[in-house]
Amino acid sequence: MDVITLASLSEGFAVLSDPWIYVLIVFGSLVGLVFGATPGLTAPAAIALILPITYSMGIHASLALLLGVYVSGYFSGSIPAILINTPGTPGNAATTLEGYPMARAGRANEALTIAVISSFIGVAISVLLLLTVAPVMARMALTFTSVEYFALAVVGILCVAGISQGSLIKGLAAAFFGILVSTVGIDGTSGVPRFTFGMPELLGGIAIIPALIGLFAISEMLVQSRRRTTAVDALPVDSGGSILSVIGLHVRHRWTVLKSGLIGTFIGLLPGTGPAIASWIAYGDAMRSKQPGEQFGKGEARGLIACETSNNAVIGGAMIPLLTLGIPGDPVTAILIGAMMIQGVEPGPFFLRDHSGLFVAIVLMMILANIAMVATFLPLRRLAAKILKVPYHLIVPVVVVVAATAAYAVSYSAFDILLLGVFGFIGFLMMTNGFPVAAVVLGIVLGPILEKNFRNALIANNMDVTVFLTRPISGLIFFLLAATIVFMQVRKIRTARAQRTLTADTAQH
Amino acid sequence: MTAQGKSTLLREDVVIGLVLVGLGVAATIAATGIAQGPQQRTLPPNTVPLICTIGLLLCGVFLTIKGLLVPQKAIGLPIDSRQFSILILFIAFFLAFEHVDFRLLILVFVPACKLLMGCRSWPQLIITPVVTMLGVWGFFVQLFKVFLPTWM
Amino acid sequence: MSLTRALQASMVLAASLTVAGMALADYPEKPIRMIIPYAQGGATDAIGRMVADPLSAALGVPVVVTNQPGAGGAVGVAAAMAAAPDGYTIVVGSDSSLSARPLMTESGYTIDSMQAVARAVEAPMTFIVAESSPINTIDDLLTAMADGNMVWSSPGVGSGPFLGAEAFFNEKGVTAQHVTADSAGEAIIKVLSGEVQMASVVGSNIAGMIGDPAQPIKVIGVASAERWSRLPDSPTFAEQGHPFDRPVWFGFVAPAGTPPEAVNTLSAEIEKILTSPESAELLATFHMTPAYQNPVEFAAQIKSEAESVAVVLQALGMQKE
Repeated sequence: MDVITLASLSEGFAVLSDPWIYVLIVFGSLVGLVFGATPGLTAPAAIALILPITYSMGIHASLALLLGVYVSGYFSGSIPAILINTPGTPGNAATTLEGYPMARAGRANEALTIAVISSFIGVAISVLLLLTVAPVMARMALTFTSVEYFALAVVGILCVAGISQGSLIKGLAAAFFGILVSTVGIDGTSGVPRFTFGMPELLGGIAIIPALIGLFAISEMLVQSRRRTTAVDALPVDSGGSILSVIGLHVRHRWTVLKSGLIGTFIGLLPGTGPAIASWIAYGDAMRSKQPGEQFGKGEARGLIACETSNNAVIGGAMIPLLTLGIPGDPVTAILIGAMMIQGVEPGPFFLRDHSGLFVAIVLMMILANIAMVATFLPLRRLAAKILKVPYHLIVPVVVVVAATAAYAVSYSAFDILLLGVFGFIGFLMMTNGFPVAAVVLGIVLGPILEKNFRNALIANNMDVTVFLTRPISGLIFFLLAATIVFMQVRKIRTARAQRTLTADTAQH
Repeated sequence: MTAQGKSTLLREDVVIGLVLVGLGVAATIAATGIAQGPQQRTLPPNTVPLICTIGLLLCGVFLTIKGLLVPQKAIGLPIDSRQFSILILFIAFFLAFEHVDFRLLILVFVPACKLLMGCRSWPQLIITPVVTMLGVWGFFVQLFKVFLPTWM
Repeated sequence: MSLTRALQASMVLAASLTVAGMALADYPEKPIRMIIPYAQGGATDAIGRMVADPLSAALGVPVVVTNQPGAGGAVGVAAAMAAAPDGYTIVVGSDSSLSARPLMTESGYTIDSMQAVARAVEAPMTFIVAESSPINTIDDLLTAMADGNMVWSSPGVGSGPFLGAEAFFNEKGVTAQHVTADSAGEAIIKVLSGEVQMASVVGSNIAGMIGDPAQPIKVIGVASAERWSRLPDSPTFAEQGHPFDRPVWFGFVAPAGTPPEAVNTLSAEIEKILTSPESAELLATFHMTPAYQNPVEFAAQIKSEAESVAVVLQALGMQKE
């Protein structure tokens, strides 16, 4: 590949000669571990909170820290999923189906080890793909016009269907709300202010980071502050599940591992989708290829492997559109764009050419973060269960203070703190009424990409709507989209049926 | 109207659906008020907002109809008294953030929140706020040079 | 630790902090806030920070940089204009955010809400096309624009290069279709992908790209009176028989009512910083040219720019009611 030269390789490796990089990656891993393991605090929330802190660091140090959080944050949501049947992040919801029954059967330690090893392999597969696909993608991206970007954004927004586990109507409503929120401020195409109600603070639109922290963290804190009638008990972590035997298990199920890794990477590649949908698809896929003797829903290790491999494979996949198109592949990369811009690096078609050394460094740091995740978690396996016992009256006020401070630090704006509160309350109302909060974020992130490119494409092509079908790449995308919708619809019905039988089964225990 | 009929109107999806319809109508009215901007060969600035507001409205209508047709439980109070008091505390905290010295604010907010959440342990009520305050001060102010509101 | 002990400790802390704050002196006596109304990382951010550090050293107080991006700089300027006019808040403004924005939308400020401090840097508006384009000169461009269907791009409606290009089109009596971009980089990509035939950007955005085979673009005109030092081989509009002088500039303003001593102190220090060799080196990497103006000259510049842009906005139908 001509973009990655020997010079950029040596430049990338030179970054690793700074000992600080290792410290920050390990520190990031720990932060990700704590955030992911605390129900309600997700990897996006951790990244959003830690982002302002990275402003004063250099690009390498900043990314070392953020990638550390990113990689371990996606994994560690499986800890409470396995131990207390509560997914730490939405991406680990599928993990509960096999992980919790395993823990109940006294195999918690084994389940946790499987989760961390699967996550490790998932990241490894996706980073390998990132390395090979990204340079090709970057060259292709230079021929992309508004038409192609619009087509890609449509693919992203349709994934709202995957996020809406409960009700598709509620998911749609949430996405519409998200897009509507993204239209606040001066319209880029016409220069006209929209929904600003005479407030100059709104001219620039709703700041995404306060909205995100509000929707994810503040809302969850409100939910968690309710009166509790039953105490949450974590299960004891047994001593079984040696690392060697778990690795052996992965070798035995290598096809599931590979397939889930590919699914995760592909889902990550699609703009706006994240680990939640990846893990469900991979789990559904593993279930369909059920072997005799496998008991899905009762602690089947292969199901757990599928979920955890795919949701962490999203990471490498999501980095591909981020680095080559400047389009975020999942909620975390949406924030990473900001983190890179702050350091004077613009992700997009020119990124690989202008910063090929940084690209190599990013890949290396992702590999290191992956190793750090395993290395920090394994000795902490026993301690991990303790995080779950921290009382909420400690978590809630501290998280709210840190969230407000972080939101304020982004642009020293009191208005952003009010946004934090407003979106926290909106998120709370949504959560308690079964609306997927992630769909709002999808709308906020993809809304501007959708709208701007749709209108630009029409201007540039003399208001000819057929251009979306006649330009080859866009036409192909829309064709594949139509095919996928039909396919997914069939699969969704099947998965839903399988899930229903599973939950019915687990409920009997 | 019978008791049965009343509870139909209180069904979860009916209430949520009607709220969405209300939101959709209000937002649609606001969207129609958006200026048209310069004459240009493209969609006017309120096209996409209108798609969203009408989409919200239709989602609301659909949910309402679904709620009316399919029997389901009545909507519960979305918030209990503790959550409500904590919500008020959050709002006060956010509003005060820019105007009050952050050290003082944390020393007041954290124990208040803990008390509301049922913590009655004196050492915890003192240690948590002080540690939080020192943590924010050390981490944000000292380490990362963030200027938080101070009185002195 | 008992509650009383904790209270005592915090009171001691409070007292010591008060004493530190009471050591009064003449202006400046406390940190100065510099608002950069653009996201971290861009050229404007770098220029603001380039001034902030030496300014802090010269004045002996911290100069705290805060980024408040949004609406092409209007959000940050509005926040600064709402601050107390005590000499402790300054903001980076541009031709677009200071002169044009108040005429376009309710932005929360007008020309009268600001006190000019110092203009800092400038770079001329530049028209670029793809290298393979049949358009080579401004005349070619005007011919291509004759039917009103040419598609062009700029870093945003209301940005300096957008308004400059529209002013030029207006003068020549031609119209075109504008496709918006979020940044100069995006506008350049649109030229490269063939989506638009021409882009109007600030010269500093492309000065480093000319001659790079990976980015096959060419300059068809630089809107400066004489050849611009950063692009010595590119012809000006005037050379091609279409005199048009359009610099995009950045400068510092404070809220109206800021004491004159503070304004003059800041302005004098900023002038010194801009003429230092360190700044010259940094500005060269951003392809900007220093263009200091004192408060009086700068105020006149903002005003005259607003008057000229008002005509264009009127013609485009973009003036606020």
